[in-house]
Amino acid sequence: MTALLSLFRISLQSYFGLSAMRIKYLKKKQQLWEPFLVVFAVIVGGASFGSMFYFSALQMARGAALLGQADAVLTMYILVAQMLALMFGLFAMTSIFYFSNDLDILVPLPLRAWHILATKFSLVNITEYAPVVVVLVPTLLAYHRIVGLSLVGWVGAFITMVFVPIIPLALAGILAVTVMRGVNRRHRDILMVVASLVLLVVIFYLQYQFMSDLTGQVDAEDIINNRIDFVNVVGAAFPPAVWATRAIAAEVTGERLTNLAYLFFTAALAIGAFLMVGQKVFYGGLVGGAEKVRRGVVYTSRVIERQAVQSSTAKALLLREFRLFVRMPIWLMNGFLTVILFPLMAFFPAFFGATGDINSLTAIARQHPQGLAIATLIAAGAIAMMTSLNTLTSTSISREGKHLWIIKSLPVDAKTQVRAKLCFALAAALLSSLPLIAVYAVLINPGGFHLVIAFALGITAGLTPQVLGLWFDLWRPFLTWSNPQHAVKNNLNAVSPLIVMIPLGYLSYLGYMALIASGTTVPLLVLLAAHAALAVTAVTALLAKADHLYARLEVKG
Amino acid sequence: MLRFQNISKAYQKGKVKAVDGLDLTVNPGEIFGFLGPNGAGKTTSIKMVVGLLRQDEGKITVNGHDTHSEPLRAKESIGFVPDNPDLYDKLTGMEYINFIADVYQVSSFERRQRLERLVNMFEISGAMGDLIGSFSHGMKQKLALTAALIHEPPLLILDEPMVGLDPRSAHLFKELMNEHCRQGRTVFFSTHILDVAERLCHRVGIIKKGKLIACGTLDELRHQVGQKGSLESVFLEVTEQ
Ligand SMILES: Nc1ncnc2c1ncn2[C@@H]1O[C@H](COP(=O)(O)OP(=O)(O)O)[C@@H](O)[C@H]1O
Ligand SMILES: [Mg+2]
Repeated sequence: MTALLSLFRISLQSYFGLSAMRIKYLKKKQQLWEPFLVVFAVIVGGASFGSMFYFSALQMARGAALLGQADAVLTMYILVAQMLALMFGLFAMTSIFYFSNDLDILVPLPLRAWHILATKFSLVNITEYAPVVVVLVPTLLAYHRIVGLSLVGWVGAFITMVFVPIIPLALAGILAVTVMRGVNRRHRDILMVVASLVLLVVIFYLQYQFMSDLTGQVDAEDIINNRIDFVNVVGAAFPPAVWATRAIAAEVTGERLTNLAYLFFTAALAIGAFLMVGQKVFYGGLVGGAEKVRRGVVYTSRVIERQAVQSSTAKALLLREFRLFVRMPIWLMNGFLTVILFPLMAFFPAFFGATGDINSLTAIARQHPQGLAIATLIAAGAIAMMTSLNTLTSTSISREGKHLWIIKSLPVDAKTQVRAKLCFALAAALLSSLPLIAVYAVLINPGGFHLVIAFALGITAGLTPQVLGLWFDLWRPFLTWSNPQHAVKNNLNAVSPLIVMIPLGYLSYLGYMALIASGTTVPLLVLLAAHAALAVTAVTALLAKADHLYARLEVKG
Repeated sequence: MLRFQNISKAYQKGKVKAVDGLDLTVNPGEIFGFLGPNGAGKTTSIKMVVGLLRQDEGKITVNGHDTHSEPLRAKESIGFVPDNPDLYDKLTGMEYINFIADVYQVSSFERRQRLERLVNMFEISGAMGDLIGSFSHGMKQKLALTAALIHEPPLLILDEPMVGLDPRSAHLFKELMNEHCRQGRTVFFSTHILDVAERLCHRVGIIKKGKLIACGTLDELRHQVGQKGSLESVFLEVTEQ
């Protein structure tokens, strides 16, 4: 047991960089403003995602409460949290088992296989609490506002949250360990991305099927007479979500405890299953050297003829950015997928849930004289916020790490390199804004003009923070990481665009209020023009400074 | 071809003087060996040439281009392999070579010809489609050299090229350096392996504590110290003082 505990402690320290932080901030008291900034950024990031969940849950709960079915909202969002845990878990589990280099050190130590497996599981599980909290705390607040949650209910809720990610994570672990075992190293990254997207589509599809079946079968009279329980219907596909709901919202304490017990035993069972499979498949294969190695293509003249084709420098730089980013699962997940997934998940229930609410939202947006303009601003703000939260530009130089020498020694001027980095970030911003625009279109149905404005305003407003993020990262990059996760997670630069975004957002709000007398269209257009001008200025200024910033960067190694 | 003029560089805000008033000229068409004990300042000097570090003082010219005022022209003339080639683990060998060749604007025709020859010579034709992360140290070094030669640079710069190579690969490296120079181009490499330098170099420079303490052909050096023997004894003699 002591071996397990000390393994856990040391892994915790290295996974989150705790020792380094303690020395830097507590012992040497260097740059104490950094942790404050991080806390600030975490609060802002959490709040912006959280508020999406809060408002969509509130909307759902209002509708469901009319039918006396508010508990189903909890079930729905517990399912959402578990879906996120499953998807992030798939990435994190694959990374921690197949892309981390500590196994070479750990395996020769006198530890049991399950010690290593359990430690890695716990580490990932700890990180899973971030999305769980971001989804469920706002949901609980919304639920509390509509239905009210007693003190016992809150206590039950926090105990329940501990169990929420465990079962999906164990599933993700088993999936990662068994599927990845048989897959060649080279294809693992891409498989992970594809698998998580497929998973997303499958879940959406199942949920959709479910809901349409439900509306087909359910009799209005049954609902009104409370003869049908939405909680069971929504959670039928995944009973732990039902137990979790009951553990929070059951009327009698006995029922709460029973459901908590269900959760506890299922979680224990899931962990046990993971440990067993892990021991057999992963550990056995690792020690037995059963890694599959594919014989690569031999580069004969024919193959070279086909593949050695010239393209422009700009294209080559852009392609390099893209490949290096997508092939590092941790970067893709942290910097990009999170940003797409969260907004989708926030409104996921609204798509399939009570359709009546969507109409009421549309009605509100249409009735209020400023309704559409405000909705457009919110959509644009969400896009700009998501763009600022992805770490594409703000860790762009940091991610080069020990490879910085390559781009530094190439005969490509700094402007071209900066342009490639910005183009890549812009492309990603366009892509990641699509889900948000889709949500906006479906929820409010605002018409072409407002959709275009929301899109253009969001992108331009998000560009300035991104440009300044790149500037900041050029100015003081974090290059000395050895674990790619640290390049984006333990990197303060990652939050710099957010720091810029917040005052910009506030100024935009003030600007809008100042112009509100001029109608509904003019303020939107003025804001768009202002943000476009600002973005162009920022890009121009960065390009003008690029040579100087690049020259300052030294590769000391 | 390559000229250092009174180059100085210090680390840690001036506390560690790594290169101190270095003056050195490398002529076109020669293989120049840059020798010195560990920590002498070889890597630091090379990094300033290829644009990874900025000198505190002095001027470096490559093929007639000042590295400070015309960095791109200077870099175009260089092919560089660092002491520890950290290449992109997540690109395949072929993707990496294509990236480098695109940046140097090597035509499809030329890159095919050169690539085919180098890849066969280094026996890495079976690995070019694999991720670089799966390469051994020696394979990475071979790939880095392939990338450095893909645009046939007038000046090839290698930092400790023989470290970690098996005898066969080391031999290939030496062959390529010879060939590069036979085609009228220049090689500048650092090493602390003296018999390599002795057999390969037209001229050598010996650096110690950031200062050039001897420079010339082997005969000139022998003469300078009044020693008859090998480069090793000359080296020991001059670095002793
Ligand atoms: N990043 C650095 N920070 C501080 N000192 C350094 C750094 N890199 C090198 N040095 C110091 O500069 C001197 C020269 O180093 P280097 O150029 O690497 O020598 P060589 O390549 O000849 O072994 C050494 O004293 C070394 O300790
Ligand atoms: Mg060195």
